[in-house]
Amino acid sequence: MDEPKSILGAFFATSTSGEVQVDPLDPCTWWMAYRQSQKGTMEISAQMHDHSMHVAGVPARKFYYDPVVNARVGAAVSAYYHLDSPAVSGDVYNYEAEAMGAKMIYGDQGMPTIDFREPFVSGPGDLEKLKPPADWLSAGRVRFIWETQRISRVMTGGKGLIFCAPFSLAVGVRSYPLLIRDMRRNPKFAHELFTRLVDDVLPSYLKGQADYLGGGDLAIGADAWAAYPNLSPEMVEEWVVPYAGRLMQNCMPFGFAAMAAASGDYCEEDLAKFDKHILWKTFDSEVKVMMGQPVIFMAMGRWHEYPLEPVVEWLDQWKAKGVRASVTAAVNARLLRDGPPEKIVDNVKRFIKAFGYDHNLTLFLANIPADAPSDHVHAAVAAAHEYGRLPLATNLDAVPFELPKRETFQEFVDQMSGGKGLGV
Amino acid sequence: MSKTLEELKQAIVEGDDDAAQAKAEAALAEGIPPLETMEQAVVAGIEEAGRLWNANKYFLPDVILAAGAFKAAAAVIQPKLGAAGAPAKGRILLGVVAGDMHDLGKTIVIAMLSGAGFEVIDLGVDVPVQTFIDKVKELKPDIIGMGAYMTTTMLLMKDVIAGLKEAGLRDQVKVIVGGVPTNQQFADELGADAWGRNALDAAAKARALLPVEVK
Repeated sequence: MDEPKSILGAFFATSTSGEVQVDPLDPCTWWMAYRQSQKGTMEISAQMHDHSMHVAGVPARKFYYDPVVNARVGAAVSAYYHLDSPAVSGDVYNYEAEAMGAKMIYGDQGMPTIDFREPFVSGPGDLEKLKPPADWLSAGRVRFIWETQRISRVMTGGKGLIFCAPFSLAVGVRSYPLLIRDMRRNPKFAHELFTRLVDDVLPSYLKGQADYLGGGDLAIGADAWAAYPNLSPEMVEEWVVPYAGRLMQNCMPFGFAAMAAASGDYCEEDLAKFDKHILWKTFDSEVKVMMGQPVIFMAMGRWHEYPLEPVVEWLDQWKAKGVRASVTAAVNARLLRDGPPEKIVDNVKRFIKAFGYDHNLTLFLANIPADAPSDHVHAAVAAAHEYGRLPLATNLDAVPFELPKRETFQEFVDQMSGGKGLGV
Repeated sequence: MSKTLEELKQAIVEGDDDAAQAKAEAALAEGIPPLETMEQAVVAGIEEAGRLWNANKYFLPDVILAAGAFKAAAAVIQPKLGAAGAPAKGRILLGVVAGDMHDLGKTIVIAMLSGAGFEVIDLGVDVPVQTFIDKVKELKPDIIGMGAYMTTTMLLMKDVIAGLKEAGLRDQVKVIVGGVPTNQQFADELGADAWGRNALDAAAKARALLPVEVK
């Protein structure tokens, strides 16, 4: 088997090409120039839309509706933190459902959210509603997210597409409790619902997106609703794996691969219940979702507190075959909020020690909380770049490291823009 | 325990809401005292589901279905409890803060708190700050519970607590917070009285906050 590329690395962390000139009035160029200057280190990315909005002090009703505002803010905050991909995105679980007609709540404080009190599919009689709108681009906020993705692709040179993975979209249109009840009590109806999503809705959405953006190579679908213990590993195998494969098949004629990401992500909240055998089952199901490739996500769980030895033990099966697995290891959101920075740094170093030598490691900052102190994020990124300097040092404990002392975001913006601000 | 009560308990453990409702109705029809039905089958069923969850035998789908079955059975039994029912251990007002529609945790928390003997008033999701305060004034709960799923919306819990202080109500009500992005440190920052790590923990914390029957 060929060595797999790091999935998130392939999707996010493409480098810019050509000489980038910083335009003080365009924060997207701030990130592009930073990225061009950053070489020879392990890459670190982030999910941080609410955090970016909070740091920049931009209203939710602008940030989640105006692609230029979203892109400029995301790029500026990404440049500020020295992230290796621009965190330019939004509420990735909502667009398809919203475009088909799902009721939404548009808050002032944060991202829009689906109103689960009135599920879009209230019963079998509503299955007919699961179909592509007449025109995706003018439905809901599709234009916003496709245009945001277009700007992101200009910044990175990448050709990625984004979507909501089938299981999470099924939750979006049906609500979690009802969908779970369907899966247990009326599986025929549930299977029909999933089938419509992967045969009709998502291929159409992704084809439309690819056409709008001028093609695509890899579509990544976030799937947080399919995390453990939202679903048992057995349920992932029964309800996620088959539809992931079917969606992949349906999109192949369009010339891109469509993959769900982090389905089965191990997120046990109670440390006393950590169980390596369940963890291994979640990894096994992730591999099946990824069409047999050894790709695992350690995304939203308490990975600063779980033991890493069981992960290494599971990965050894691939190492024994001479295969470098793709490992995405995320710094936990609450650790990023609570700190202290020293603990965050240790966590990053621990990931690199465990996985950096034998596997393709991508570091990630998991859904940085809105009010996480910027010093904490700077600490994580600095640790990734210092301990992750390539080739990796034989002894990471001997690598000198100091917590960075950085200006505030506002000071950074003033420096970059010559006092003119973000232009949003 | 009668066969009907055993089947009712089993229906709740297995998360079969239709069977739970039917068996609860059957128990009443057979003349089994409502309090006995509630304690031996309905509450016992949800407690067993919680035990299986703690033992890693049950996953979230199993618990959410058990909570639904509990709700279906309780809806049949509770109106019949009347004066024969055990006094509530306290009144708890529960809601998900504004801008947040995620009520998965709340559904289970309600089942666990109800099972633990509390009177639970569900304010629903997307509850504005002022509504929490107005309802505390109006309903005089012993505990107010707030949930949030997003790191933006959880910050509104601060506003609720500040509003309670401003209205002179903070000393009259205990505050429990919970939800995926929260933790003990966040609860401490807010000045909440407790943080519920999960539904079972929330019920345990509520019991600890109100150690004696208050109603």
